[in-house]
Amino acid sequence: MESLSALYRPYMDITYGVCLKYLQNTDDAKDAVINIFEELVTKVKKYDIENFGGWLYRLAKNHCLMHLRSNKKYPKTVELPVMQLGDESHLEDVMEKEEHLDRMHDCIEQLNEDQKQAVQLFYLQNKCYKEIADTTGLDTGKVRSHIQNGRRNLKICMEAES
Amino acid sequence: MSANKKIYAAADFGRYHRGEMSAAEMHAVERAALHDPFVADALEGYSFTEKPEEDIADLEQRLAMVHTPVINITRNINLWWKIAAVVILMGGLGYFGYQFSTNEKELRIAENTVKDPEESMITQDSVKDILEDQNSPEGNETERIAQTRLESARKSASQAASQAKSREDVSAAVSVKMRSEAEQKSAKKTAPENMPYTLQGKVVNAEGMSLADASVSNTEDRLVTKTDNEGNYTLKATETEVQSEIQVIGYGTVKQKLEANLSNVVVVNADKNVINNNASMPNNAAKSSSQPVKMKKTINQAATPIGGMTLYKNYLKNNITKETDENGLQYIGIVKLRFDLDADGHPQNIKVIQSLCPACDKQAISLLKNGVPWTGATGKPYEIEVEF
Repeated sequence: MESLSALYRPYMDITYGVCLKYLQNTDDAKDAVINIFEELVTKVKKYDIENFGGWLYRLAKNHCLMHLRSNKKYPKTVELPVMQLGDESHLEDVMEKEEHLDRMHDCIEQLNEDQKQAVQLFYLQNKCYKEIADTTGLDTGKVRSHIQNGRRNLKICMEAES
Repeated sequence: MSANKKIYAAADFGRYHRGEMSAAEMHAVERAALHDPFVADALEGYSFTEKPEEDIADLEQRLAMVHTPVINITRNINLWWKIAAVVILMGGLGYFGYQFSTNEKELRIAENTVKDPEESMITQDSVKDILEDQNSPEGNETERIAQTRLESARKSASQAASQAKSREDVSAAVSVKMRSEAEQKSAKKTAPENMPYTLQGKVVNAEGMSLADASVSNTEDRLVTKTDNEGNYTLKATETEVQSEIQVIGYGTVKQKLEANLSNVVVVNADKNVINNNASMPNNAAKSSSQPVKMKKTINQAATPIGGMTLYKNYLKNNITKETDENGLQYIGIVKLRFDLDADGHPQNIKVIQSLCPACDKQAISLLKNGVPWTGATGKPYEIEVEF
């Protein structure tokens, strides 16, 4: 129990953030963080966990969604980040390879103007969302959305070309 | 999230939202968020609190309090088990003692069988004398003499039994035999092998996911078992219908009547309580669609797709295409469908009872139509949630 608490503790902050995102209430999110720990105590023995962080994220998210569903407060739409961890890592690898730079350049050109600008500023000029928002006049939510969608479209384009 | 990646803390997210980070630091957090949904969700979540550091300090205290009482409870449970073991042991000893005393007569007979031949002759002679004396005219006097002789013979037999090792062995054997008989008598009342009926089924959660290691107890016959990795359980019973209690860690306790010769599906909800009592179907429903199917509730979320709900959920998960709105944002939520089954178990008359988006609804219906057949009664309504 003590060791599980020690294992959980470094991830408690980030888990609290996930609970806050879905429950949007500090009291509910705090309860969820404690409940997730109790759920973890029972479930951790049953699974062969290779990636604790990834497993915990799934556990926390499912817990919050179950909570929302039971309270019938499930939001109709939630702005979601791109979830495919493996695919994103793959994209990262591809982007770092010099021989793919030309292809990537072509793919960036095929993006719509907003996505192209956001992707270029974020990845090529290392600008943060706020700086891009200041440059483009868009709000940060839109900037993030353009970057996420641009990344997805880039991936599709790169895979199609290869 | 691999071990070598930075695990962001509440203070980092707080600084980000308060605008206290440099542009480079913000970019690093945003980049991490793009690569790790855990970070992305947390980053977004911290926008809902103004005092993240205080929240975490509060959580630290609560987390520290969580595991202390649990350990105490465990200790208490261990203590109670010890007390229960002592009580059972003492009860058992008392029972055997009682059995031993009530069978004293048989024990004496057993002792007589191992007496020394000489003493045995004395006893036999004594008894013969008694019988002869009883038939004589001096009945009263001879009866008194016979009584004395009988007691004398009994005493000598008892002494011989306590002195001779061979007699002790036999005596012990008799005692063991008596104990064994007592145990068999007791076992006839409760032993599972003597119970004529079998209760079986599956324990699942509201998502249809099988729950392993759930405790299923036949409270009437006081038998308990655990579900296997597939959530299945088998339990003996003396009656065709018995009250049972199902306990799943994290799901609470469910009381439900289980019936023999049916597959009793127990659905438990993560919020402590049952959501669906008594959803039963015949064991062999999956084998033959022509077999009559008995359902106790008209709306039944536990109706099973061929291959099980876990496989079916995987099928849905692997075949769902995320739908986005005009701004490119993904829809997240559920489409709830109501349907009934045709004679072959294929879903038909599918209706959307909870919509997410038109394309989502259409996709959910298509997945249900093109999925595997289900086991369930024809014409009865069932519901399923398709998660996007």
